[in-house]
Amino acid sequence: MTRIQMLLKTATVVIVLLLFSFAQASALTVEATPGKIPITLGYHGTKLKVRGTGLTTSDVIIQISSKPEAEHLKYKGKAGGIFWMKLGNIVFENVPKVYLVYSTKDIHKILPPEICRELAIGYDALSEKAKIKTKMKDFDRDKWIVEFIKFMEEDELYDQEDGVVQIDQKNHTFSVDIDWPFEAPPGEYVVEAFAVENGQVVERAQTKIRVEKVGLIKHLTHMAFEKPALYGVIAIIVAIVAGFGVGIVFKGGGAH
Amino acid sequence: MYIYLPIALTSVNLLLVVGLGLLVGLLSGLFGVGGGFLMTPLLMMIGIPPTVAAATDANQIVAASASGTLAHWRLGNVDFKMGLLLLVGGFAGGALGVHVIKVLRATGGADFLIKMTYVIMLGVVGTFMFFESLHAMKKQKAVSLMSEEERLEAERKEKQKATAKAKKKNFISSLPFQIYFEKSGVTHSALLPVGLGIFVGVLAAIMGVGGGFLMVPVMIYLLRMPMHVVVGTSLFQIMFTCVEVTFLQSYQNHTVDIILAILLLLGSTIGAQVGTKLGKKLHGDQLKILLAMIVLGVTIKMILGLVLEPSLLLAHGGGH
Repeated sequence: MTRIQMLLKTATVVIVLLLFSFAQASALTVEATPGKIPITLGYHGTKLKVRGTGLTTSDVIIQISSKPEAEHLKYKGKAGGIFWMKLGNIVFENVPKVYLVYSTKDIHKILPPEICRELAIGYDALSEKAKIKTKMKDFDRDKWIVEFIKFMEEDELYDQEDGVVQIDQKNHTFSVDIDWPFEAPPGEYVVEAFAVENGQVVERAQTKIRVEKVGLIKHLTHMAFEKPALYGVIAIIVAIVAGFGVGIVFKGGGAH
Repeated sequence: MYIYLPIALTSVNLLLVVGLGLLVGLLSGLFGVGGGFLMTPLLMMIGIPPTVAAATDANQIVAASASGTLAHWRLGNVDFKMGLLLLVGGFAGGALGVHVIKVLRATGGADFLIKMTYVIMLGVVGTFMFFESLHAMKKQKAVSLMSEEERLEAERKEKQKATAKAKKKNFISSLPFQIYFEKSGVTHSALLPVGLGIFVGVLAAIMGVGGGFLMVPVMIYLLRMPMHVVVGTSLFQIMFTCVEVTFLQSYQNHTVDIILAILLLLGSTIGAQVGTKLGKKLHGDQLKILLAMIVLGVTIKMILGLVLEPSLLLAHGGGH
């Protein structure tokens, strides 16, 4: 075998290996069902099924988030050293409205902090990226970030749980069922899957879900914002008619 | 069964919300208060954003007070003349109060003032009504145990006291535009209800409520109106105030949730009718002492909320 032939053979093997690894990397898929969540009159959240195929690693992290925005809140403190009340404004910038992270194991045990930071996975990464604006005296950033996450968790808009993603290593699939919170506002959400092995993310895939108002809910929202005067008059007429209507019905009861 | 609220952006239990409406409507019919001071915190407790809770509450009060006004009007318990004068004052006072709050917000510390005004006003009104009603009930019991002669003597003394008191009221009786209010059986200058309306309007705007729980004691103790006329007249006045608030909140802030309002008013309109009928069976002083106890209960809850450390140190803006 000539030197050129040997080089060609080596190059072919490298190309085949590269193609194989590329094919493997793109093999990871993730799917969320339903992809469109309609907000109807009887809406109370939904069961969101996240499924994936092509998993070759022993761990996986699933992250669902909305685009980063600013959350305007009030902070509470002691006024005059006695009374607890809202004392001022605090704005958390560059934070998602919804942030849900589910994994096979504790993400701190399967990924080093610098990777989590780089790929923006988990509460710690979210905390580092957040910017806080406030005129609070003796401001303690760490304390208020913890309070922010607690506040969002209370509204079920934030969650980080491990041990909830199921893996079927034989079929290379993973799945998790999520109680999609009704508190999550309409909008687009990104669902990402990270395949993790030996402290590294070796593959990733993403899909999107959309939450939108439909039917009566959509029409009422449109009227409230686009025709507010008409909406206000209708609200008043409905109230007066209902009030008088019940009054007339009760008179029919002959109690007076 | 759950219902999604398009403006509040949350889902609520249908029965829970209708039940809240029923409870507050019952109080409305019984005492002539709009119930804003109770309903808004209750709505916030079930996850409604504060701004939507306050605005939608005003909308449902329109229904409850319309229902209550109709019921009281049929019973002959609405003093329209007095109600209109109080309303004129209330509108003017409301506008003045909104301006006061704007100035205070610009200088800071408005939240503290609002909370303290709330606690002090509720505490003073509740305590005063409670002891006054207790005193009246004791007196009535004592009168029922007296002989005919003792009763006549007590009545004579009471009349003497009232005449002496009337003489002292020279300033109020010397005011111009004296009007006889047939329904209430009292004579006052038109300036008195207008002035009191302004006072309540200012306080109501500062506290962000309809002001029924302030207007009722003002009518009883300062305008000397009979309790049953007070309730009907107060509801009549509240209905108009809340129509104005509903429109402004819809138009300027987009914070009225019509679905939530309909659920609440389903309960509150029926509650108001039941409350009115129940009120007829209760004595005036019993009604007053019940209202005083509710007002004091809310005051104690507010004080506890101020003193005890909350579980969450962050909150949404708006509300009371």
